Formats: sequence, structure tokens, C-alpha cells
Amino acid sequence: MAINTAELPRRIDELVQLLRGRDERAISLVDVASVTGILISTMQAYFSSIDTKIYTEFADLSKYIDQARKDIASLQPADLSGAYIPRAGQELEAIAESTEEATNAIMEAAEEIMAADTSDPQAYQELVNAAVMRIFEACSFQDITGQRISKVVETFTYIETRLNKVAKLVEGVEGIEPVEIPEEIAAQRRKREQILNGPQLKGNGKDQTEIDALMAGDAPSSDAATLKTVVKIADKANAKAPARAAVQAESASSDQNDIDAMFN
Amino acid sequence: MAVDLSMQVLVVDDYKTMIRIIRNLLKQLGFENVDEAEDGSAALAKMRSKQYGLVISDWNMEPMTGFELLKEVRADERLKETPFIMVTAESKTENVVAAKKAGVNNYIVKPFNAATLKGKMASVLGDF
Repeated sequence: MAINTAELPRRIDELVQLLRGRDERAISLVDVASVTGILISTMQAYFSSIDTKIYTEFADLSKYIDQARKDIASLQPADLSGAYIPRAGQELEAIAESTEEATNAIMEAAEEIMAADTSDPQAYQELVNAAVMRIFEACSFQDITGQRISKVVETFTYIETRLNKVAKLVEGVEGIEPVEIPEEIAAQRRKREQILNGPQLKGNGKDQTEIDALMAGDAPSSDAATLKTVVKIADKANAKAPARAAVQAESASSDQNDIDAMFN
Repeated sequence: MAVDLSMQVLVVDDYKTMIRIIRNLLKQLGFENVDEAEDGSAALAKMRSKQYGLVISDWNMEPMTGFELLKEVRADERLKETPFIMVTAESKTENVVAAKKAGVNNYIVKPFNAATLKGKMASVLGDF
């Protein structure tokens, strides 16, 4: 029999009043046992009326939170921001520094050779040999640089692994809304407007031969679709010409005839 | 018409080592009068105070990129005929097309060698 939780205090009060309402005769053990029995049955009926599913869900949620706390702690975010990332930054700075030193050493040696007096062959030979040795020595930077780069790659792999773990933690959790990607910031817009793509990996950019072909208007027909797209990009970028420019504004879109005319 | 090796050449790059490399290469080619600027705006200022027979410019610089410099030069009545060669790591098709449309005379992708620099200069200035 389900008991309304609001009724419980009233039912217990009834029992208490029943005991209090007795006359001066001593309350027997049987009386107490009877009341206790009724109280126990009442409480059992009450507890069985509670939907235990809620408790199960709370228990599961508690376990999940506990595990999530342990997982997050294992990410050691303080370690990432306090040690790994700064160290990667320092390694990159060291790489830039050592490549600059090596380059300067090589250039100085080369300039010395270029400026050397060739009238005395033996002196010239000695000078060249010494300069060339310094060039070889300077080239050893590549070994250290390679090792530093490996360390940086290792750091980024570590960060990537931890970030993937975080992503998995929040995956499918109800109530967690996807983060809205903020609108393009000023730096990104400038990169786009100035077509700042930076150095490309092998296969992603054009080599000098391909660039010469583009400049000469000998681009292969397979590039036509790409050209149509990039002409639009180029037109947009060139549309940012200075206000006093006498440069004629290009049309927003180009068809194959326009592209051919541009390169011929 | 023979190329005037005494012409002023302006090299524009925010990376001092690259300027040094290009300056040395130009010297080997016979061009001794080389000026330098660390970005487009500094280059433009120099171009407005002195005449240059050639500009060799990087693309990725701030506050003014080589691309912006090219457009400014081509938009300026006094400067618009100045030969302009882009020397840059920007190697995507869209960069080459944009530069060509903006009026660049030639385009060299980094890293490059002395023969390439000479070839592109010759195609713009004439044989030397």
C-alpha cells in the first residue's frame, strides 16, 4: 500500500497520541511492540512507495562525476600550461636562435671568401679552407635543430592526446551545448584579405616551374577550375586597392574567357 | 638597351638575413647600389624620396605586406612603372594570380638560387 509522504507525520502522530491517550495504567511491552510493529510497517510501506530509480540515477551520476574528476585530474592542465607549452615555446625560440647563428656564420665565411684578395694563391687557399671549415662547423646546427623539433612534436602530440580525452569526456553529455565558433577575428581577416598562406608543405604549393607557367599564361587546362576559384579570391583581394587608385576594379566573377584573356 | 648596373635596387623584407642574401647575390650579379626596407610602408617612404630601378619584395610583412606595397606602387602615378619582383614563400596559385593581377612583373618562390634571381631580373630588365 503506497503511503503519501504528506500523510506519514500524521500517521505517526496518531500512534503517539494513541499511546499518550491511554490512562494511568502502565504501558505494557506488548503495547510498545504493537506500536513499534505498526510503525515499522508504516515506514516500510513508505520506503517502498519511493521510486528507487531516482536513487539509482543519483548513484550513477555520482560515480560518473567521480570518474570525470579523476580523468580531469589526470590531464594535469597545470602541467600543460606551466611546463609543456612554455617548454615547447622555448625550444622553438632556441631553434630560431641557432638557425640565425648558423646562417650568420655561414654568410660571414662566404662574404670573406668573396672579398678575399686572390693575388696570393697560397694565402687565398688558406683563407678559403679556413672559411669552408667554419661553414661545415656551422652546418652542425641541423642536428641539434632536428632534436629540438622532435621534442616540440612530442609536446604537441601529448597535448593532442589530452585534448582528445577531454573531448571524449564531454561527448554525448546532455546539457553541454556545442561551443559557438567566434566570428573571424581581426588577425584572421587580415590573413585572408592579404592571402597570407605562409610556406606550404611539399605538394601543397607551386614550385618555380609551375609559377613561371602561371605567370606566362601556360597553366594546364586541369588548373582551369582552380583558376576560376582563385581569380575570385584575387579579385576580392585586389578590390582593397587604395581609394586614390587609378587601378580599374575587376569584375566579381570570371569565366574561362576572362581567365584566358588575363594570361594571354 | 643595356641594363644600367648602377641603378638603385630596393630590397624589401622583414628578415635581415634574407636581405643580406639578396644583397650578396645582387653584388655577384654586378648591382652594388642596394637599399633595404623592413616592410612595405618603409619601402614606400623610400620610393617616394628616391628613384629605384627595381623593387624586390617579400610578401608577408607587417604593417604593410608586399602585396599592399605592390598595389600602392601601381596606384601611384610617379611609381607605377617601377619594375617589381615578388620574392616570397607564398606559393599557392591564388597568391601568384593575385600578384599578377595587381601588376607584379615576376614572381620568385623561396627558397631560390642565384640563377633564378638572375633569370627573373633579366626577364624584367633585359639581359645583363
